[in-house]
Amino acid sequence: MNKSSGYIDLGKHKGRLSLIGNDALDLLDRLTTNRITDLTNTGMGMGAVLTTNKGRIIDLLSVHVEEKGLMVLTSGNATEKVSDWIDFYTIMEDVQTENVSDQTFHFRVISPSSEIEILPDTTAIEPFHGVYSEIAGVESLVISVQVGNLSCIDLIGSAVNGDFIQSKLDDYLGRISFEEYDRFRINAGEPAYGSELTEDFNPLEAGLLPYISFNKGCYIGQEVVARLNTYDKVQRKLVKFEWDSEDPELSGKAIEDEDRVVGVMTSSLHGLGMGFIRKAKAEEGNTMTCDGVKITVVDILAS
Amino acid sequence: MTTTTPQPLNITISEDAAVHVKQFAAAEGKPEADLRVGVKGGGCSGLTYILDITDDGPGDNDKIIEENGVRLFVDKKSYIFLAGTVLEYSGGLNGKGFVFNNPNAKTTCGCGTSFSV
Repeated sequence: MNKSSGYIDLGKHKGRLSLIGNDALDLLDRLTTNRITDLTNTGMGMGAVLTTNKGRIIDLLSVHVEEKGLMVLTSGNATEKVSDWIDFYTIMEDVQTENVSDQTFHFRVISPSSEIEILPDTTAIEPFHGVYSEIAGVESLVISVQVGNLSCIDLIGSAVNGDFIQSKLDDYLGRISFEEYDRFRINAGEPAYGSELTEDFNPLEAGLLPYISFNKGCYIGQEVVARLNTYDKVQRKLVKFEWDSEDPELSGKAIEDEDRVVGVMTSSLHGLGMGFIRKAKAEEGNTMTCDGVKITVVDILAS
Repeated sequence: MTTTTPQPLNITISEDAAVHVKQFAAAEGKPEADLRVGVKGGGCSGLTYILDITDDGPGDNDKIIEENGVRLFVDKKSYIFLAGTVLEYSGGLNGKGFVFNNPNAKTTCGCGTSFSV
């Protein structure tokens, strides 16, 4: 894959929830780690972690203000869980949650928008924020996304126009397979649902600090997350590994240092991986083993 | 053989709590007001208690409970999480004010204002 140009169809790999109602912002603010109530204008967006009352990760959400409500992007396999979670906590609030994943397209363009004439220029738009724009005549939400050091663009619109938009993107960009994208994701240090984003881990050890507000007030799991941060109680850190052999699939395997288990590999693909290891071992250049393979820490993803 | 039908768990308010509700209502200039009790999502543990003096009257989905001279309005979804709760008042220098003794609460947060079921 040429990392500077291509696109992937995230339609099945991401979920999209529509939240309508006067209390949608306030409810999401009470359920997630970030200050969602700061999203006051159409097009604004931010990342936020949905956490359990034990401060463990349910999913990393991307929340966007639409003209009629909120668009919440979830990890594809987490969509039903996230929707059920929001429904459970919708008690007296004026909030209607609908899974609109099948009614919407979602493409991610991995290329500067200025190089593709059918896309609006998003270079001045901060990550997570977006604009409504017509792409080849199709009304779409265009969101600025940062994956590692690369600026990307997410396009979301009505599914009836999905094939048409895809044909237009094909004129400019190559299609990226999910495996290619997964390698790109791991290389960029982006956590994924079911791998790094699980209830086995908390947002601080998973490197999700940018999505946490420590002065917004209460949300589910806040007490635990705040205590972990204040008293420096985070025990593990997410790090990126490299190893020489391209073949071994190491996801789910224990990471050992001098025959002691010090962590677990959570993502791996062709000599590149991410995993959680004890904080004391999380230093660039440290070597350890995973399933007999010598692996080297090349980046610390959690501060 | 005799069978007994389980009685639905009610929400009750202690005499002391009722006195303080009336005092707060009077202080707000609404001596005839009622008390809305409920829960909402949020708080460290998942659900947070709601307590409001109100003179809006009951809503269509409210249960109305009258005890110790105070009318409580509880919406039906909140009632699921509050059935069996006794609303009490803890006064004095170390007091916490209104306290929900909720048998459904499995855990509560440090400050006691939120709980999980």
